[in-house]
Amino acid sequence: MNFDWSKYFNAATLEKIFFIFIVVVIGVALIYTFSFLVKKILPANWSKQRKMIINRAIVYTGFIVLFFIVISELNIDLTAVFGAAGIIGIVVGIASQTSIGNIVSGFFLVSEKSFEIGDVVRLGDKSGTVYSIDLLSIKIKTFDNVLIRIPNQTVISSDLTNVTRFPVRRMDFTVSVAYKENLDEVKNLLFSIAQNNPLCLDEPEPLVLFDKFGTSGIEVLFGVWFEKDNFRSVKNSVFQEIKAVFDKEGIEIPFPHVTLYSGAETKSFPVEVKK
Amino acid sequence: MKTSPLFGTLQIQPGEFHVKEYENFSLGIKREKEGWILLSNEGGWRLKNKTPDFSEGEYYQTGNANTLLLTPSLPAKPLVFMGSKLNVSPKQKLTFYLKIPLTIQAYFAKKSSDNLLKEFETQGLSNTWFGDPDSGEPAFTLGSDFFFTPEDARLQPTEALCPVSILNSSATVLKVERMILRVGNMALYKNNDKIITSLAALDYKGKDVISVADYRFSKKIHGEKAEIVAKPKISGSMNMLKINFHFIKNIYKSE
Repeated sequence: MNFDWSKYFNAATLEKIFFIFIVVVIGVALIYTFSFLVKKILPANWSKQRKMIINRAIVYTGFIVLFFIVISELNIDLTAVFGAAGIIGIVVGIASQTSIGNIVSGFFLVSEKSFEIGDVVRLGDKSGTVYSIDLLSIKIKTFDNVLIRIPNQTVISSDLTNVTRFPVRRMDFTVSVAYKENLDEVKNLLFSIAQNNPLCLDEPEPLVLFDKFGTSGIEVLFGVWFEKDNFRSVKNSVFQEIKAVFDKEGIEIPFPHVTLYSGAETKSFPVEVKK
Repeated sequence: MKTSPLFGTLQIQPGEFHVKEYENFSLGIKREKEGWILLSNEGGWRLKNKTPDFSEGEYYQTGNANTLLLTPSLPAKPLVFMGSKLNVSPKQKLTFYLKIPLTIQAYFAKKSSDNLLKEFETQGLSNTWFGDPDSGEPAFTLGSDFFFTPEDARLQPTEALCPVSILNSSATVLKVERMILRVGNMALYKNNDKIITSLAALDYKGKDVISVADYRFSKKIHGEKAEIVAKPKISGSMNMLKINFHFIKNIYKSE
């Protein structure tokens, strides 16, 4: 079989391929340089997310323009391409239903502004800092430094908790005290713990709520307000202080008690001590 | 123990040290060959008539200058006054005074932002939040003590006097619950060994209306010969349209 390679790989074709290669290289370089420059001149007080959206818009638009330039350089008849696009569109559409769903969900997520890059979010059993919001998914960096990819469709159809949306938060501790304790004293001690801890805010004021009569003791809900960046310090210090103050003041923190009966309700369980 | 003035310039030769000891505040300063060691009670140290252990202090490499400047400054966050006992009738003006804890800035060689070594709190201030939990701003609590005359305030060397004037331009009685003083916009003046902040002149226009706060010098209060000892930390307009009064809402009402 005699195949005439020179028909396709002649000087003119090679020149065109080389020209297109140069156009692509320069085009890509221009797109990224322009995007970099825009990133630099955007106001510093704009959120990371807003900057990212503008940046992505520049990059995606740039690539679409570059695509059309390359097509026109290749002298491809776009009418035929668009004619075929209807059929291709149906095929691609069926094949990429999930991806398109994710892209559309991504637009809703961005416009809804329920979270931004850098926010700490909880989604199902996963929690971490929003690392990036992309076309198809959001990426979360967990506190043990693992990256989780969650499809945008999943995010939009799930309950998402933005933990750091507001500048101050309340941290709740459920403290259990023995039934014999004076509840006024317990309340005063808990308020003093919040007052003496420099990281606990004076206002909004701490919350002490006698929650329920538990199986081993009375359960008290103790809530302290703090600035969101101090989460770990507040959690540890308040926890330690509750234990220390209760120990010092002789307030018993009960644990489950089990009473053993030997059969008769009034008789004690026989205990034999062996030497 | 005799105390030297808290603020001013110190000349300390290498190997020597100096101690400032006040009721709530201790500062040990040691000059090394090419730097300074600073030790304050922020780290739990108190002098109590014994030589400070400078091994616990922080070292700053600064060069050959043996001069250290201690200057007064105001806290890093705004202060919230809890004025639950203050009421101002419509169209009335109330002037009163508050005691504000000073911070101390230590500079080597000369007072410039590049030469700042450290800023020390002379009193531990409690953190609070001014405004609603979903907006608002972080602040320190100032307490609820106020004085009608400067003499009543009985200032400590680590405190400044803050004159406040509230004009109630609204048609209702102003019951001051929480009032914010943006100390970053205030300057410090010295007159007769007393340190006085800018006058905080607040114009209250109503509960849901943003009020005007003007932090300024007043000849009547600061004196004709008042010397400025610290410029405002935040430059720009001293006349601000902001929320200066907050009225507490019960955030647990819906729970």
